[in-house]
Amino acid sequence: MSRRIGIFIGIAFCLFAGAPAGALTFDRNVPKAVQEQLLLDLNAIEQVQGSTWSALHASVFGEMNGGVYSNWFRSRVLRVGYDPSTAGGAVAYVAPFSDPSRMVLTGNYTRFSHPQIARLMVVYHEARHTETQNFHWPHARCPVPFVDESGEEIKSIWTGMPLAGENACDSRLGGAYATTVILLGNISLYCETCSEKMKMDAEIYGRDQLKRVINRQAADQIKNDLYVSH
Amino acid sequence: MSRTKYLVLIGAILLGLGAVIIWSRPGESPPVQTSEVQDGPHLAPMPPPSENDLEEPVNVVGHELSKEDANKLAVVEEILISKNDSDPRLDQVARNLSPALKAKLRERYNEMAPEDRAGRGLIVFLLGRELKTDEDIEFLADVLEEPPCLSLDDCSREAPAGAVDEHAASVGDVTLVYPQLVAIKSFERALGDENLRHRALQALEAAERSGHPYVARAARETIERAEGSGAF
Repeated sequence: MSRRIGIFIGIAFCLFAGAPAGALTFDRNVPKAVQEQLLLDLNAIEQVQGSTWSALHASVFGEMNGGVYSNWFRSRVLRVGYDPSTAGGAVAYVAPFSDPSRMVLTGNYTRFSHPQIARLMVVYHEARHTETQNFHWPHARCPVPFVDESGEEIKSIWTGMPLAGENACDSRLGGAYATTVILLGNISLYCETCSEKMKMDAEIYGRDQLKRVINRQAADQIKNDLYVSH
Repeated sequence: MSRTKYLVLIGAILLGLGAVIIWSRPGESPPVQTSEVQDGPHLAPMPPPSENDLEEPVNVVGHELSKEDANKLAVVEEILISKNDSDPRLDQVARNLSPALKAKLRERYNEMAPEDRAGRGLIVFLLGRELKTDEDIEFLADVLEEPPCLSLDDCSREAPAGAVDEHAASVGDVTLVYPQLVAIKSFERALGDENLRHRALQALEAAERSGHPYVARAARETIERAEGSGAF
């Protein structure tokens, strides 16, 4: 009798717990093309292998291994929704206080012509925002004035408006921008299975994202971890 | 049917077959249709073209492409459609581009919508990976001189102020100048080649004076990095 109850509870758990660990569940309204593109993109990073990785990479992700990246992402993002809106240029977002493990892709995921590494950067960035235990790694306001190393004001290419005062920077090493800099920096430097283009793109987008890490100590730590000796 | 009519009928059939064989001779094949490869994303890479596939030339829009070139072009078209930059065929097949294929890719670049930043960047990457001639360098230098793409929706128009969520837009910032950044990366590699260094540096210096601040900054940083590493 108790065995039957155990089996019943097991089946019920499987039914109500949703998909097995590692499988993404898509909301019904997610277009097939968007689902396929996301899975293709995730498949790309899940093939990554490297025998070396940086210390910061070890602390955030672990070793450089597609399985590790897969677990990291899929343990945070359990469901994928879809927002057909394309306003604001957003490609993906997480609503941390209503459904933190659900990532919403917008129509821009496939409509805009971003390289694959850029799409991956966005979804890994957003995956960081799912972490309830870390208060979803809120962003910091970019400083006023917000200037680069050569003293030039950092502006949005989209609008030409200064980023100063915008809630679009990170002050902590574990923030979503910093996390993707570490991920992309390591792919550009150490991935042994990536295409040349993927490695080049990882460097291009990773270096740019570093500008969003405004805490000098955190930024220097990343630079030392990734770029100084290279 | 009389014997004569029979012979006439057989003769007509033979003539028809002869005409079909003549029309399908090498060099008169129809242009390669890119729609032939529009079969969606591929997770598994296709094998490289076999030796048997590489013999007959194919005429593609004014450029005489060998069968090998046509196969390479088909791979590039497939990757453009799948948007799968990790496709191993990018490194295994889309290499050693002939002058005719390079010309075709330059043509393909110019046919693309300016908003197709990733597609254009892919072509620049392939051509930039094999910089050899003045023509190769001129093409990339021209890419650096393109007018800025003002928004991913419409390169000719700026997104209205307040319409962009800056948190979301950081990826878009780079994508807007992506083909130019890929060209700069190609020139950065060329700085390490004695035969190309001078022209590559000229192109980067011109980009440094570019009206586009992001491109100018990237060019300047590239030159500074090269100077720091003792490339000149």
